[in-house]
Amino acid sequence: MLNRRGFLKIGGATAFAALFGGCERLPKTLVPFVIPPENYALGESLWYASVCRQCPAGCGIVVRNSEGRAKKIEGNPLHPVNRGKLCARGQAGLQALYHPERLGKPLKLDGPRGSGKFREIPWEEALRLLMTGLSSVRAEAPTALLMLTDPMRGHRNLVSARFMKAFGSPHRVAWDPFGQDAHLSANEAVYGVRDLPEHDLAGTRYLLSFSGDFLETGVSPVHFGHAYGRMRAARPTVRGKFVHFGPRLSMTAASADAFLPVAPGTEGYAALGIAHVMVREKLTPAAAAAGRLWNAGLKEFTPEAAGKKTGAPAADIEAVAREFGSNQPGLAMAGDAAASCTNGVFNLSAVGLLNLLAGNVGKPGGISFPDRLAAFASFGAEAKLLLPAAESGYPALRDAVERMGKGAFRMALLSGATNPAFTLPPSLKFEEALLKVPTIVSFASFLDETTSLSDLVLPTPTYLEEWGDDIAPAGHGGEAITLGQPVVAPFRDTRSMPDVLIAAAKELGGPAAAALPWGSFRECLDKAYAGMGIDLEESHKNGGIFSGKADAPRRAPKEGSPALPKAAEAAFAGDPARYPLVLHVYPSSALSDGRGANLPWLQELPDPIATAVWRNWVEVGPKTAAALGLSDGDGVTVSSPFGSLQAFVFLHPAIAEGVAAMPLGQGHSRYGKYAADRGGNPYALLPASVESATKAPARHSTRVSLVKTRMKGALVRTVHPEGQWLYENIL
Amino acid sequence: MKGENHLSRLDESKLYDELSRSNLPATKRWYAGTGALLLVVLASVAAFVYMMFTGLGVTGLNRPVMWGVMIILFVFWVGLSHSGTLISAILRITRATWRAPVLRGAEAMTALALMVGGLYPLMHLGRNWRFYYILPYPSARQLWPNFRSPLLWDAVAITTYLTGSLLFLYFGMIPDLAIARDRAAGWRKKLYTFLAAGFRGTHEEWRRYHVASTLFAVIIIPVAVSVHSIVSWDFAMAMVPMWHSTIFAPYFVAGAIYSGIAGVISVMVILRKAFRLEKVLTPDHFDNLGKLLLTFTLVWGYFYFSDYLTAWYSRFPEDWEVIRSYSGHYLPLFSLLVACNFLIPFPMLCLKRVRQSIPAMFAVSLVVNVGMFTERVLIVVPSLARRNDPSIWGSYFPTWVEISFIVGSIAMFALIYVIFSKLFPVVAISDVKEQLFHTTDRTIGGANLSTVVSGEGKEEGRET
Amino acid sequence: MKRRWAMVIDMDLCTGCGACVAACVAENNTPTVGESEAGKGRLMQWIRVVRYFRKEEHDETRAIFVATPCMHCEKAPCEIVCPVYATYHDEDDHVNAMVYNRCIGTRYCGNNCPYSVRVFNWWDYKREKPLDEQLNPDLTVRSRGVMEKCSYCIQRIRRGKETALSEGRPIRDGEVLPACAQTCPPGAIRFGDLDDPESAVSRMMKDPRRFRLMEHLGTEPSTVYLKKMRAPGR
Repeated sequence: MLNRRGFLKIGGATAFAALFGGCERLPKTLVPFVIPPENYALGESLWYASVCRQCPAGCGIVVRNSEGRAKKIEGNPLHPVNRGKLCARGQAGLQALYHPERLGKPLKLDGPRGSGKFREIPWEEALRLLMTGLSSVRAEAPTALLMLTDPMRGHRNLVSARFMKAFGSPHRVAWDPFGQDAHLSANEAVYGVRDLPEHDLAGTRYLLSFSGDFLETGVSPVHFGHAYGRMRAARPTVRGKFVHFGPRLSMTAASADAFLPVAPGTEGYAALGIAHVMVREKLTPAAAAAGRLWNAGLKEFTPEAAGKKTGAPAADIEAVAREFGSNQPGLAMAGDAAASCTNGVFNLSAVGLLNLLAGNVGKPGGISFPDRLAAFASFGAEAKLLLPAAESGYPALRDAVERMGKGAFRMALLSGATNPAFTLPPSLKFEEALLKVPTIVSFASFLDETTSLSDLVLPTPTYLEEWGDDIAPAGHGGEAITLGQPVVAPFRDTRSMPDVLIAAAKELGGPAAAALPWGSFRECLDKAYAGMGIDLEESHKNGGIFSGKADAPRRAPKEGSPALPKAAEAAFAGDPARYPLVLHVYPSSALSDGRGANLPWLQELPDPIATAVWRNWVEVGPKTAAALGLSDGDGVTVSSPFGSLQAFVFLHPAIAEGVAAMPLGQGHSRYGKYAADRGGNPYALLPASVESATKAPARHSTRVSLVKTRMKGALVRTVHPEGQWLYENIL
Repeated sequence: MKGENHLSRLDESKLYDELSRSNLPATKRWYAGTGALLLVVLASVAAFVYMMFTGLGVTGLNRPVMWGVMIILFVFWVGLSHSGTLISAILRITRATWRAPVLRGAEAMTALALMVGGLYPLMHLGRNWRFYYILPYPSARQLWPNFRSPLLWDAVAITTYLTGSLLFLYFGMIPDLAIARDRAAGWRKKLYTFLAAGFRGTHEEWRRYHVASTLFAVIIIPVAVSVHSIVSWDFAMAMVPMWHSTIFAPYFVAGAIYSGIAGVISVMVILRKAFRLEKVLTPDHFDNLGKLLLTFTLVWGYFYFSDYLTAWYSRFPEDWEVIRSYSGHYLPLFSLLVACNFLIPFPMLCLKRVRQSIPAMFAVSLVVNVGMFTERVLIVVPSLARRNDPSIWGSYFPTWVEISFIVGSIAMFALIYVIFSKLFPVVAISDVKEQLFHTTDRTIGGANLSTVVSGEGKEEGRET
Repeated sequence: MKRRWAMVIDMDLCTGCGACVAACVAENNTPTVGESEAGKGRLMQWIRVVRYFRKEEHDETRAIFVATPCMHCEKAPCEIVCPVYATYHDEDDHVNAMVYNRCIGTRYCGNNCPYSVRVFNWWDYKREKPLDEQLNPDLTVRSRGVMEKCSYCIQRIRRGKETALSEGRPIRDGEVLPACAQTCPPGAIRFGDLDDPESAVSRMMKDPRRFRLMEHLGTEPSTVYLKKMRAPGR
């Protein structure tokens, strides 16, 4: 509950630091209040606003601090992205903060390389090791430094970028398995803007989703969840219709009014089938004017042809098209499963075409392209560093892996939660390549698979203990800059990565020191925002700078009539005779790409559709299962041409036949006792295939086989498999 | 010989020795057996202490099945306790002469089974050490317990029944304790003297004894009926499907008596063998007990069928899910129930040949009690496992802790019974004697005199 | 100040995300039990999101999510069967209150709840340090042997009433929210005072979509639902 007195200044953080310092001195029983710390009232809580970093959405949060401890995270009501709401992952951030396995001291390798055996060393020694490495690389071959992180935003990214540039190495790779490369390319092709749009879900009357995952994972689940609520309930006479095309009834699809199963990778054909009907029957003004599109080849993509490719009935495609056309404003969205096929850009471009034909670009209930960096015009070229394009970085990563293998790097700086050793296909042999780098330094809070390969681990504070800033990639129109602050005093001996880089730069001297001239990262932030003419203290209290400007500048879409996307079929590796099922993998709503697996609250959160906890599973439809001789709960070996694992079967009653689906996130071999050994890692089944246009990872590009195997134990599901069909019994 | 008093084979002078064979000084074998039983009991006590200090998680209980073996044992043993009182009371009132040798053993069974059964409501509490919250004592919080709760009625009823049956047992034993006092020595004499309360066998004392026994017998019947009705209302008052049934009270009482009679038969067979009471407990006794058991096979079967039929016919969705599970997941248990409670006992008990065969009766009585235990399992578990909300359906399987309670309860009952039979006469000697010399009060002139008639007054005299 | 708190869950808005579950766990010191205990049916979460499957027109299978907290029944079957009054109906707030230190753990209430919303502390759950730093000081950590259940975040209700009282004003609609209602992204869970005719829940009570779970049992739940709708056509 929001304290009405508002958020209070974090200046008290200094006082906290003075009082508490290290974890040992945190008073456990009697709290000495002869001289109470600033802003500290026993029994009363203080709420500090900050930014959530449990996923890339960048929601604003407020955290309740009671006697120096973080107790509860809530959404920041002032933040336009999430408007006071927060998802399960955001709530679980407290467990990351107080995790028993969090790194509290720098670690030095104490065993064979890559073994993950460490011993604790003091910061002085750790920094000395770091500086020795950096200095020698800088002196001899500055380009032999690699920085491999997750995608960073805000001034953190600016600091890292400046560091590397001043150091003299161009090799900065930001890896995000769920980067939006295909979306960015498709948007550029269709709308002429290489950016992620704003989708006005709340104002639309007809939502077409093509494997959309916007309510569960995706770019901004809380934002879209909230918008979905407004779409259904905020308008007195309009509820909207939501139609979902996709391989499985996902959590997002479960909210749809109509779910039409389509084969994986065929979303583009479904969209073209709809476009065909729209243009043929001139359902919207833009469709009526799309004669050139028709002649360019759209007339071939009849609903019947689409039905053949997708498996959805032609009559349904026609009916949906007519409804979409006559219920404007309509909005079409595509999700990760459509994007991460070898034909991802085609799928997404076809979906984008629907928005053009609906004529909703720049209009309410449609899509628009705000300039989210408008507030940073004064930063010049560096503004882009605050909100880089949400790309996967796959081509750069593969290039880096190749170079690593050739011995081109002498030192690697790793950071971030995207854990390449866990999320990359095994055929890339990332681990092997990385270990060819003589010095590997990680900035991390936990020992995940990638961090365990390091020689030196520098412990970082969690996001709840750090200063920072952020611009969310979606959910706002440029009127929100989120400011992060420590909600508790850091109670482990940690230093944030920007602070270490700044200190390192100072010691390196020369251009590096000049590029990072501040005393600390906090100073960097304060100086950056001081120039913007805002009340920084007030902004920190609010959790960010929210200009509230209704009409932030929008970029105009491309002029001219739409072009027909070049059709392409999705390619799947593996001989269909040997691997009869297509593999569909999706980030799980609790664990996302795998980073949430070490948090018990998230492991114990039942999956919305499978209702399983603490383990993963493989989903098949009833007909497919019967053909393979499988029943609900059986153990199977899932094999692709690239790897295999064991999992229990969950009989999914609403999944396209011939598809096997698995959630991503489990299957860790490291990352602590809550994460390790809870099933196989589905990332290890995947090929290194790419989306043809962008070279982004194509996760939906392999086939698998399922063979019944005896397994110990059982999948724990919280909804009884028989009882789940008896909804009427509770009415 | 027909029409002859069955006890006429007994030599009156040796009567006491015959009937009190169980009170002979303990032998090594007795100590070994009792020691073994004590060990088993202590093991299950240890399991309980472990459970109390660790938490109920050591059992197989879960959500939705929050009651399991401990409640099953509670209902089972309280049911078994209906043996003595009812046999004793009913037989006393109807003046069935064959009751005499059976009385004491049955009454003891009642009190001791209740002692065992009454432990389980205390053991199954999550916070046993706070059990006294359920008692109406002047607490600092000024809180009464909740009298609307069937569990509180349970507490009252069990306490009342236990007190009543202990008094009933004790009171009925006073003449025998007096006899024992007269023949004992040493510490036993002190014990019996204290317990016999100065009974001298005067006419007045006997008269009062008879009046009081009859009164007790009459009063204990409604107590017994109400106890198991109240136990049944633990279930019937709940909103759980197949528990919320109006027939539960008579059904449980019938089941309890059924189980109790079978228990009496089992115990009597053992006593007969152990203490060589063949002359006292004759096949005729078992024949009559068998007839009683047959009656209750039919009564129990009738109530069970009625309960099942109405639920099955009306197909209320919640009840239907539980019934469906009887032919699904719980089919083995359900089959066992029907076989052991009806299909086996009914035809067998119809045959006089079976009823008069002691080994056969022993077998049938054990089968019935296996069936009755299964019946308790089938009452408690499927209804909870398949409760109203289908999403949360679950299952239940007891762990070693609960199995040790089952074994421990049997051992505890046996242990207390063995000690009881060692200390006290396990056959009602004075009642047996009474049958030898049946007296009636006649008015001769202005005086009330007891006159002696042999046996039932039908034959002329006794063979010498 | 008397209130009649009620919760309205709009199933048309619920997406099944489970944020309510995580928020409730964080707010109410709920222990995490682990895979093996979860497999035995001993999860301790006070609210659960049940996913049912339904066969609808054209033989299609669809999923529907039922977020199930405590119903806080006006005629609660759990209250009358507790032998020690560990659970009772609070007259000031019309919620079903649970008194942990009175509970002796007979679990009759847990059996008698037709919605199976009550959970029991089968163990003394250990919270590994420093995860216990996160525990909410406004409510207890329950010992083994006691029942617990959703309380409508009574600690927040109390704090809201105290704050309003100290400031000399009434509680505003939407000011006091349980953790689940506060975090729900689509706003499916609404909470408020039925005695306030202007409150959102009072208005929603009149919605023709309103229904109660197992209404025929006569428990009169304060947690009500609004039917999920489905647009016609394919």
